[in-house]
Amino acid sequence: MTSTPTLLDVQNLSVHYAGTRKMFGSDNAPIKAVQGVSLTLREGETLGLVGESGCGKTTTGQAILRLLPNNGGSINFMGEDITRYDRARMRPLRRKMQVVYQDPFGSLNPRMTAAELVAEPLVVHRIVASRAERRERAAELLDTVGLGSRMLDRYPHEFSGGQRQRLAIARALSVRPQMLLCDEPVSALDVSIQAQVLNLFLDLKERYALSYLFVSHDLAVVRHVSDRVAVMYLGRIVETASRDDLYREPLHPYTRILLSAVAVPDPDLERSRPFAPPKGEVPSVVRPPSGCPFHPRCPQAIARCAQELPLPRAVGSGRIVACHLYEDSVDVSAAIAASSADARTAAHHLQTTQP
Amino acid sequence: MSSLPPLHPSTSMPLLDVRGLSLRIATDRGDLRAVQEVSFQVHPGQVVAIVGESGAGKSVTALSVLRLLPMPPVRVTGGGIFLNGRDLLKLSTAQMRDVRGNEVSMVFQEPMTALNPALRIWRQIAEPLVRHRGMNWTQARKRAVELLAEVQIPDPQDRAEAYPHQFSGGMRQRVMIAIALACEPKVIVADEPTTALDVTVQAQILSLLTELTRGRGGALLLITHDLGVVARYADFVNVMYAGRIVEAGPAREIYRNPRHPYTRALMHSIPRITGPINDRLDAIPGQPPTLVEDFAGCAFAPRCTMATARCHSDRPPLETIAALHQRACWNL
Repeated sequence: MTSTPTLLDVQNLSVHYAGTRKMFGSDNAPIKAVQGVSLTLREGETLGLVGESGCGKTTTGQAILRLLPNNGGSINFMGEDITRYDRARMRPLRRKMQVVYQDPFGSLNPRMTAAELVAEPLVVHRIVASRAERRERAAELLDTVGLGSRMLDRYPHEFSGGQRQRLAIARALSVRPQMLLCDEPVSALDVSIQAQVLNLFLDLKERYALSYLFVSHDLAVVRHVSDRVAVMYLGRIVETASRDDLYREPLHPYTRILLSAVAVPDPDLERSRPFAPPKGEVPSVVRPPSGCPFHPRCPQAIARCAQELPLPRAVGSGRIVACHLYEDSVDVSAAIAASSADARTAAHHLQTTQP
Repeated sequence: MSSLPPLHPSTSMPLLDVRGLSLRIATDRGDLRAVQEVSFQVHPGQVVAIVGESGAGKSVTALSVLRLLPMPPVRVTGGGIFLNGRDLLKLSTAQMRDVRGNEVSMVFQEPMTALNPALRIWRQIAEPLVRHRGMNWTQARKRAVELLAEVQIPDPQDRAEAYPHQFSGGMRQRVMIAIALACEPKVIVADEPTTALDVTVQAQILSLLTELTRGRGGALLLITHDLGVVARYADFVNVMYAGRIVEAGPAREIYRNPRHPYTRALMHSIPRITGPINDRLDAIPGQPPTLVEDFAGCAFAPRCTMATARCHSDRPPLETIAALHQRACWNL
């Protein structure tokens, strides 16, 4: 894995939104939506970016593609530092980085046919000039995503939700990108259709050696598609680990809570799992808590957590955790031993009671 | 229709007994057979789930229990909805108003659209108490504050004066639950109550809702598409496909021994946070049918790997195969 070249390297990314001007008072401090986010994506890899609403996962994706300006940090894509690139300099790179959004209805022009929609990026990027050739390419692409070329002349409203998502994927693939940002791409779909689209993502990754930055709130979906996973909370990444490590033994207390909150489709397992609903709600990003943003809800918080922000640190091999509980230990097992036994049993229990 | 045998050989009388319910919705393309011959029961202390994908008819079924469907375009073509032995479909609009929010209440998916944005929180909780319980506004306000405390809203005395927009999504859903609980109805219908909420808040709300209804000897009819939620909270499960119940049974039984190909396919098509990861999910090919045309056979047959010629020509009846376990399939 380490020998594979890095496609994307993001360091210390911050994105601030201007605060809203209040009618009374002048409370318009910037909203720090994303702070100190560092992540890498290797060629052919899928990085899942997971978290609850408002955690900054979508903003992170948008800023990485330079669809939003960032306030700090650096973005390195295919060896180029694109952090200060303007629109003109970004344009050739846009071919290499495409997006698939949650709601294909909102991102597909209703007045264009499938053929036109899929071929549009080829026109924009001046890849294919002749109309006949574009139609041919569009037909190929529709075939690739399992729609079939007989759909070429249909309009978006004639497609079902799953088919529209396939159409959006075909459009993104038309320019042969290296990287696809997928922002909740299956969240609007029914489970049986969701499985079809997830399978398509996996097929395409293999076929075209694509890299995915896969943004989702759904921990089960993220587990299914990702090689590595980063968990976000209130604008920061709290834990990054390989998919297997993260789901087998979550280290950050927030990751543990998030995983324990997910209901598993197995009544026996559910009834035997020690389960207590997590306390509280995600605080407002406008006024984040002092110290560690998770400390007010954390069952393992110590005095230090309220005062000092824990910085991301390597714990064991390939894992990064931002939590004071793990700061002094280089060895993962020692770190886990130092944290609460309850949470440990809960996480362990989840894995060992599998049929 | 009225002589259908009871579904549960249970000793208790069902609180809610839906028998052979069929509903049609008039559309430009003709009548949509949204719900067909649906029967299920809800007993005291039970959480009964209706699961299915969009268009399966689960929300329409839920709304029909409170008679909240606009008629027309919706019309009931058969069956009955018995609440404590009384057929709600036979009640007048005025009589139904006395039942709704009093004997049966509803928690919707979107608390922001279900709550009145212009009324203070306490007023919305107090309203059913004044309407159904004959309380004056002072008494009702006091009770509303108590209810806010029961649904675990911090500082209920102060928060009672707030408006819905000042609450988070999770807090608004707690308010919805307080309103639903106000008159201590025997049955609460919750239609995708946490679909719009984050996973940690979802766990809080569902635990609260199921504990509060069970604790009062009431029952919860839970409409959801989430098989995890069903596994964690439901006692009994009805699986709907294309307007019909295709399988029904105790939750453990349905998960351990699904006996309808659709239920099986659904279980295999979902990604999970535990267990082995197969590269490909066993996706169900194709899409559910549109319910405008009637078809002779099983609605799932075109997508079913086990379908035979008979499945396309004869509709399998819902048959009992084990204690409380029913399924409609010729082959499984």
